[in-house]
Amino acid sequence: MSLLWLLRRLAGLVLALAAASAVVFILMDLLPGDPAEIMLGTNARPDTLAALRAEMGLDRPALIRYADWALGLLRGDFGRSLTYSVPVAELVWERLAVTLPLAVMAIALTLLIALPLGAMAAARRNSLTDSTIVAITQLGVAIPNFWFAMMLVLVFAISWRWLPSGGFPGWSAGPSAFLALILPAIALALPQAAILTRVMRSSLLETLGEDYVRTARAKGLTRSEALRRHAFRNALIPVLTILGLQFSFLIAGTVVIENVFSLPGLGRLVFQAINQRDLVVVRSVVMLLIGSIIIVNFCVDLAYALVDPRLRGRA
Amino acid sequence: MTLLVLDHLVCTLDGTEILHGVNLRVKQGEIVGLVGESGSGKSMTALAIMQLLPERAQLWGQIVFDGRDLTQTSEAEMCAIRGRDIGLIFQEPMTALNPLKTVADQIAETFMLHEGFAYANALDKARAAMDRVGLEDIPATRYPHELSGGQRQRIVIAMAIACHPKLIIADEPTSALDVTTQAQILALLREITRESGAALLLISHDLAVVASMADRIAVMKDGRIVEESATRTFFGAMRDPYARALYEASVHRPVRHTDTRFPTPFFVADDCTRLYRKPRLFRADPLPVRAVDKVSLAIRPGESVGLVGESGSGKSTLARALLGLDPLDAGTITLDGVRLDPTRKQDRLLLRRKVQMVFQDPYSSFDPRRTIGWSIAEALGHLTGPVAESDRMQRVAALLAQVELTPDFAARYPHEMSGGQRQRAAIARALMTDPELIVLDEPVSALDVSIRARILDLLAELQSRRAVAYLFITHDLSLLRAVTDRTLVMQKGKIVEDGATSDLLDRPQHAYTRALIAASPDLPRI
Repeated sequence: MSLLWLLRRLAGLVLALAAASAVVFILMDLLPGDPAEIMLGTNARPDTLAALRAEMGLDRPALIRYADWALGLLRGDFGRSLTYSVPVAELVWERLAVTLPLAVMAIALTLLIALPLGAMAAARRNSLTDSTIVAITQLGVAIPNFWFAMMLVLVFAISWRWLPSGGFPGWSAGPSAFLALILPAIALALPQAAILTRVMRSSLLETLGEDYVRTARAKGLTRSEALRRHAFRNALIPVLTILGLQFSFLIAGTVVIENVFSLPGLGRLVFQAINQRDLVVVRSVVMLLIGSIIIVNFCVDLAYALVDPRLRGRA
Repeated sequence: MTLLVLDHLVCTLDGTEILHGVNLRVKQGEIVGLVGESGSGKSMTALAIMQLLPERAQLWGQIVFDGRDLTQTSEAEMCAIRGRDIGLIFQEPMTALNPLKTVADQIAETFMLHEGFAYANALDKARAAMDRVGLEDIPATRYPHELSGGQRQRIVIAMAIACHPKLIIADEPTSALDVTTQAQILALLREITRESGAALLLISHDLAVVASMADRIAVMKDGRIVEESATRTFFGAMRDPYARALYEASVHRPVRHTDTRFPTPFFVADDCTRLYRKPRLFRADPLPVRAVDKVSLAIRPGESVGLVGESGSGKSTLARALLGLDPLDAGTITLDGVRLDPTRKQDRLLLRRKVQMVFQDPYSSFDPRRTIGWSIAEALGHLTGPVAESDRMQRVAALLAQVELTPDFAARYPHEMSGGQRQRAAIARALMTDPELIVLDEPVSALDVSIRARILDLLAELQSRRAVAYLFITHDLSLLRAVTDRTLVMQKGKIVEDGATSDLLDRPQHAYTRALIAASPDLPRI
């Protein structure tokens, strides 16, 4: 992978982050409506409003406020929450300990389900296995994840009592913390896995028809060897693209799922902050989520180059 | 001794019979050429021998290879035979290799599979196999996209011959390559089969290629072998009318006479230069490539000019500049005595109206979601101002008639037409703006020989009727001789030789012209 290629993509990453922060700032601070007024409501007393304005620095020029906020983000200073009266960074850090493991588990589950199922369906095209998998994924795409989450709770937590139905005991509680994340991770992963299974299936079907798979067969490889050694990795390229896009849906999904399962994660934090009109928290957490999506897609770009030598320039 | 016997081979695809009892014998060490047009069943025969037919296919008859009937052989045994006893070489080297694996890895796989080598040893063997096929200078760690088409085809050959198979099947191994590369690949194939004593079943649509290689020629039509004999006697003793027609179409020259009514050139390009700068991070490359380097040419009305040159010599770049698709970095174009400035939009539009193009692949040059009539009429509105709908339809019908298509073709989509019909439609589209010059980029190389002959006749007839000039871009010397008055030879962006086509081909001056002539297979005259 050439250094120039990497530098160019890094420059793109920085630009994207800068643009995203500007958009978030403009939407939250500059659009008509006084942030302090939004936070306190229309019935607030003028002197409280003025005090909050001063605290938020709303009397200073917008450009300075933006620079302050953006530089603060870079240093890890996300401002101070008005409702919790603690630094937002502290809140985020605490909540990340739930959301990050949840997201990783959900993505891992998505891949674990989608890649083998998609490959199996493609390898046995038009068989009963194939049509069953296609039918199930159709269902998986159609079912909303909050409803599915409630069904999971009903079956596994309430009827069978295998897993906790919600809440999070904290990582100090050991394995039970892990158990608490299983149902939410499944609820998050299944709709995504259904989509990705279909992508994997059609992508593999396409590569199986390629000339180089025929070449592999002509060399003496069996059908399944040709699939494993030649078609599979080629089929992963479109799967990677979709996976990168799915990450943002996954993040959006955590807002819903964390509320259904009462998990103290970032999604729930945003939800609550919006309810309480705590704009300082909303602004910083939204920026953090957007940033993580941009960075994940940057990593997808790097992964492309790892998978596909045609995208690596020779230095 | 006979190595391969196809005995009354019948094959159906979705219930339709496509091979109607094919009988063919290949002796040990023999080169057999199987010739036929597209759809004649050549490739199906090859896939049947390999037992790699699509699942929808059914097969009857016998395929006896080295004493055993392959139709009765289990899939596991076939996997052992493929690649070890029979090697297969495909037409399209650009897509025949896995883009994600190094070329040496892909060759090594064969050694690991059939000869039980460990990876490191198999890589050594792969290196040796690459050296054998003339790729000594190519590092083993290269990926397919880093090689040219000819180099990739050498890799495919290295894979096919890795385990010294008794039979090599080559399905159109050189159709995707230019003439000089084709000659090198054919020479390599001949050398390797002679040296190893392997038999070669060479499948091709090109009678000249087969005649230059094979000991014996078999002609296939509609799933049957219609003519078969030793190459020595083949052309003297053709009995089957189709084999004769195929031969005649291959050597066909349209009736045409040089149009001398207009002695003054109408299209003059002077010192045309087109640079390519490699993009850098912060500034343009200080040393641009001169893709077209001070090229001058003049074309008279009704004249037919050939343009030859190896891939990358700048032919297509020159054509794009002459069409007004790309700006020139230096030089001028004069049309009917008026000097045009291709940086000006108006002048570029005028150029595009007066200069039209017909592409090599008639399928990909039409929008698949538009009717042929729409595509033909499209240029009208853009280049010549608004035209009434009824007038539009009339002109489309008139043009279709000129290229010998019925008016109902206007309502068809590209996929509803044959290759020859599509190329006729492409010519009609080029005629829409009433151009004075048509650039034809390998206009018949994607077509079967019999259709090719009729397209050439059509082009000759249109030329004599409309006094339109042609610029033929091609590698095919027999085509040049048949349809052009004058030929330009291009190399590294420059015109290195220019003269009357017959003189130039009979007494070539430049080394590249000579190499091109030496590389071109020719059919015997009977």
